[in-house]
Amino acid sequence: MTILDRVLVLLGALVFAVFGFLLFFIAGGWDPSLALGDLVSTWATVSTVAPAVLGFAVLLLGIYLFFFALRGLPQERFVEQETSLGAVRISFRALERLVYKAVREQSGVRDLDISLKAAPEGLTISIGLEIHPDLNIPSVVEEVQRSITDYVLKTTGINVARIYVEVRRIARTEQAGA
Amino acid sequence: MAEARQERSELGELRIANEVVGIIAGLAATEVEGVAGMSGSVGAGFAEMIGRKSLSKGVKVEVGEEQAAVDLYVVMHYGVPIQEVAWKIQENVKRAIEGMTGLDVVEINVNVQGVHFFQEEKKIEEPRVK
Repeated sequence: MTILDRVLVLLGALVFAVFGFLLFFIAGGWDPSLALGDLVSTWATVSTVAPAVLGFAVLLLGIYLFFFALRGLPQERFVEQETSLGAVRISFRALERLVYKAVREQSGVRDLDISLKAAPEGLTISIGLEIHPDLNIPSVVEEVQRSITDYVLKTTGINVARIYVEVRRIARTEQAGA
Repeated sequence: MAEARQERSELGELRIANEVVGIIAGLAATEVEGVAGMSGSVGAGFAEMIGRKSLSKGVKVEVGEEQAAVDLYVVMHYGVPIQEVAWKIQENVKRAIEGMTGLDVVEINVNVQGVHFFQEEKKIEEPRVK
């Protein structure tokens, strides 16, 4: 769910909640024409643009929420292995967390982001790294590639075909206080 | 009424609800060392929010007259050998269901949905002065 999805769903929820409260008060005996009638007619006579814009916005929100509901959940991607008792499927989400943690613990690595792809020959891992300064970059990267390949195979039984590493940033050293 | 396995004998009838098979599978899976928990649905999450433990959370079962197939959705602890733990889950669940219900378990699929990391312990700083 993106941030936009969350904001629009929240707005939709607020609209429904306000509508629900109004209905609840009407059921309790409140006559909306007394309070709202003057307000609405004044608003409508002052400007036809504002109600039209608001109505259009609420209509768009309703259409968006309708299609959002139909969109369904994204398909979970996973790597599957067969055993004699059935299948073992490891989700990409789990694999990404494992690899992230394992790379993060490597000496020289300050931060990273990763993405995974599965192919018949094995897993392809793409890593964007931020490393500490004053290190030999090829050595750090080679160590990351070697250790992650071994780690993934040992922990999950999944073969890593290739690891692409892009060193994106060198962490800045913190200045000593004056 | 939920589907149930039914057995007739000269003494009477036995019915085992699908949910019971699911609970047996869920408990057997969580007993295995390395399993942090079962991965739940929205309904199971809501049930837990209001204080009701969902014992069949993360389990889907298909039960026939004599056979059963199980799908498990689990979260494992970080650092465990996932393949090995998954195999132990399959063995333990098969043993539990066959032992308790007499059903022949033909398939157990283990879906590893996530990895659980233990909170790092906070370092206790020694005071500089006494």
